[in-house]
Amino acid sequence: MQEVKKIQKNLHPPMVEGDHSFASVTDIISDRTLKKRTPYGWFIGFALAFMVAQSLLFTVVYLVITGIGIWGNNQPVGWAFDIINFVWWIGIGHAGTLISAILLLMNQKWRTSINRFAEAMTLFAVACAGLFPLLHTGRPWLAYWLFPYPNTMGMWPQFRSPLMWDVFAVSTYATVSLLFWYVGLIPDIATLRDRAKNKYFKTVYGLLSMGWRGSAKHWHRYEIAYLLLAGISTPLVLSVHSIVSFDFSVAQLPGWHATIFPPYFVAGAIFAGFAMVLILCIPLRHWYGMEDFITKTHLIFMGKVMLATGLIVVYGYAMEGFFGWYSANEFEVFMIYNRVWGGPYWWFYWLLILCNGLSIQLLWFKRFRESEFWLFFISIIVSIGMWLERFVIIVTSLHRDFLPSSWAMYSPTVFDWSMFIGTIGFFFTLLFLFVRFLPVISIFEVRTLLPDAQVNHGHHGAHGELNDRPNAFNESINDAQGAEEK
Amino acid sequence: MRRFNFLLYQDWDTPQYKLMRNPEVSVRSRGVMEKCTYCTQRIAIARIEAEKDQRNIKDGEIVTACQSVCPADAIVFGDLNDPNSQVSKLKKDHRNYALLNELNTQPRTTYLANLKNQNREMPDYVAPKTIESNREESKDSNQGEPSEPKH
Repeated sequence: MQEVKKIQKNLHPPMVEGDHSFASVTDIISDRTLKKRTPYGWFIGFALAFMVAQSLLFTVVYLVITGIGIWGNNQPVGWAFDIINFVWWIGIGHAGTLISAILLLMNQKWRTSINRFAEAMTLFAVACAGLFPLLHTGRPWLAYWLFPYPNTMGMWPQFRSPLMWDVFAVSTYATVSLLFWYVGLIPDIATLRDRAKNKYFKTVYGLLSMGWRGSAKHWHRYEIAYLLLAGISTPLVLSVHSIVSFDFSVAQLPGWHATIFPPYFVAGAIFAGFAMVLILCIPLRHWYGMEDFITKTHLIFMGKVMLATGLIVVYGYAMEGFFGWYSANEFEVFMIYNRVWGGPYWWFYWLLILCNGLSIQLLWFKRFRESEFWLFFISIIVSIGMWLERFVIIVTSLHRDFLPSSWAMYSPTVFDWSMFIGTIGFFFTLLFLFVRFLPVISIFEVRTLLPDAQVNHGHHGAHGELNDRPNAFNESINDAQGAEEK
Repeated sequence: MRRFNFLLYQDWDTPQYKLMRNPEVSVRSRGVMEKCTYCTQRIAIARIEAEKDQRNIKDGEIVTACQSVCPADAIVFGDLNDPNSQVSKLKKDHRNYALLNELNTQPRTTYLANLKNQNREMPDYVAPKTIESNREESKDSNQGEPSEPKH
């Protein structure tokens, strides 16, 4: 029987380690917010992130006052850092939605302890992403002109333009992500409300929890709402980045005009997103003592997802080259020549292959997938690689277009950099605030993973030992939540 | 060439510059695309005059600014929907070509190819290209360079 248990443990590794009860899970996660002293590291990290975010504030103010001429883009590279960073941030957000929606519908239990902060990451990444196209419009205070609304100017958006589709795709995505995150938070905010001693915390959590009392009716409605939102989010995981890829593939420019773009972009987005989830969750579990909830198993699974999506992206690179050759179109052939070895930006391409193609090959080996350090390191490399991918696609395609008379080089200005680095600071500022004031891990969902949550139907006998395995994966969430009702 | 007003390039404050500006034209400000309007103010004037007389705008009634200063009369502006207008006739000329037409860009401004002197005695004479020599050339050059547009 010992052997059977061992096999069981390998097949269905426990999602919560250590000896936990409902109460201990709630204590550990909510005390982080309510009782424990805020660690000094938090203050240092927050201060650093907040300082870096000031460069965003400065750049945006200066940009609104003077105009986007402070950036380096001009003909023929009319899109540069702004769209690169937009796609980069939007891509990072996708992992959060994938984890929360698709993995929920597929009944993947390992999503439970990482979905909360992955969704927060999505929201903050979308907030950073939205800034770039908004400011790129030139007169951001008139950005509402992008929406079709009745006006006396006789203006109507051009619905044939993929940039217009972007407006709808991204604003829908931001709204649904916010709703999904907030609806999932309500039961936990209510827990915090009940446990808070501080008057202000009580009031704020009380308002945010929207009168949640945890009655069976509440849970019933919550489950339906959550499932519906998951259903709405699921197509968004695929559609948003497909539409972002249309920004390029609908154009005729060699290097953009490829049918592989939508799946290639979606895979790249999930790839980059999982890299960012790993970058965030490794320090979190380490310094916040969440090793019991974000286990090695989670890290290994995320490593596997990264490897799989990374290989799809590498396939995309191969196909771009193949299309260039197979099309026998001289412009396409030139684009590949210019991108890979003949052009001035050739080394970006090889850095990209190094970061996205070669580095992830380490994840084939169990040793690297299980190592916190290596996963963190590879994730950082992949994040850089995904940024380089967008640079290669956008800048190296644009700077050698159809008219050799307009060929030019692109170089970013100091404001391009300060804005990009500033959004990273802004992103981490929001994350630090999130980690401080909200439960980073979904308390009530983690409780459903505990052995206590498994409803025992009284099948004893030969199967008795099998039933007490910590993760009875076929129990439905509903049953489990019924059991934890207080 | 400026395609977009990335910054505020206009000096609105110096009073002397006000005299310099065409009062009929609104100068595009910062954050706005920069593009030829085919002298929309002149089109508006002609349209109003024609409406007053209850007639259509006559061919050649609208003269764009660039057209009026061109010493070689190389620029023609008119109604493309009217098959008898001068611009429509020139568009039917086999010398007519558009920039990046092979990409289906469908620009309104098109060009007429350069005329070559056919007199062999002249110093600028270039032997006309045969189909054979054309093929040779496209093999030599890697890119199909479009012929220089002639203004």
